Amino acid sequence: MKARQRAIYAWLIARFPAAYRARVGQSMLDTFDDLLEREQASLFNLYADACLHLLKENLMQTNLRFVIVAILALLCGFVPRALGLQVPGSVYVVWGVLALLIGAAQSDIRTMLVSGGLFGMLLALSLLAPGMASAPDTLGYVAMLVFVSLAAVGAGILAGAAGFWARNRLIS
Amino acid sequence: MTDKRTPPLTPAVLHILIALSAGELHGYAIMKQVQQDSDGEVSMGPGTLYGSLNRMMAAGLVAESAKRSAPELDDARRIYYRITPQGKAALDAELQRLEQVVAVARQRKTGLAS
Repeated sequence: MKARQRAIYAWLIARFPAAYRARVGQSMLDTFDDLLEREQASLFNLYADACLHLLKENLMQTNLRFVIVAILALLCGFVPRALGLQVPGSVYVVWGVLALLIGAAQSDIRTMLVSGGLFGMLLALSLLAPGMASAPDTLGYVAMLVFVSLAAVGAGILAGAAGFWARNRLIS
Repeated sequence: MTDKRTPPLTPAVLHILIALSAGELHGYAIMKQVQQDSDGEVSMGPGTLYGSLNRMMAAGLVAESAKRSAPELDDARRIYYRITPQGKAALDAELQRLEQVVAVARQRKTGLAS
């Protein structure tokens, strides 16, 4: 039973970024043994702790956060359309708040700019692209799409920068 | 004034550096030392401990030690960590910063009382 519990924990550790595993992976596994043997620690707590930190480390060290940004942007754009709404201003409010939160969560300005821009671009595409097929003037629609996308990228960067600035102000 | 190049340390990093300033320790021993140093107020889970150790190693604040315990006393495979000169400097800077904060707070408190 103990070997199986350890194997599950080792499997979780194997999901951490390579640099993390190389630096502290083995030691983490040893500590898991200590906590189980010496303190009879809750297995659920140990697994939950590992899962939470696994998510955090992967978000911090890989491009997974960009995937989350993309999913949020696409949801913001597509959900109102799927519900048959006329893309009200509230969508932009949601988008603005999310971009602020994303900006605030970034650890450096470069990542913030990339994710803010990506967020804006994907949101604009998801809002506008589905209407392209029925647009009478495709060229005009593409021009508008490009224009709005660029504007959204700029707004995304600005919102992200505002979030980044606010986070730094609040922390320091 | 606070040096802009050495930002304040997080509570977890500070506690780990304080624990390691007493000597080389392995992961579980760091957890116990932190608990002891804080009178049980700070209890660090493995995720917090190793997330912090990972970043501290990358920043050069701590390093893996060559020390291995005697097999009859402990598991010989255990990995020990030690504080680096850079880590000591960061700890000193943080303690100095905290002393300044406490001094200012005491002054304000005295001002409020009078």
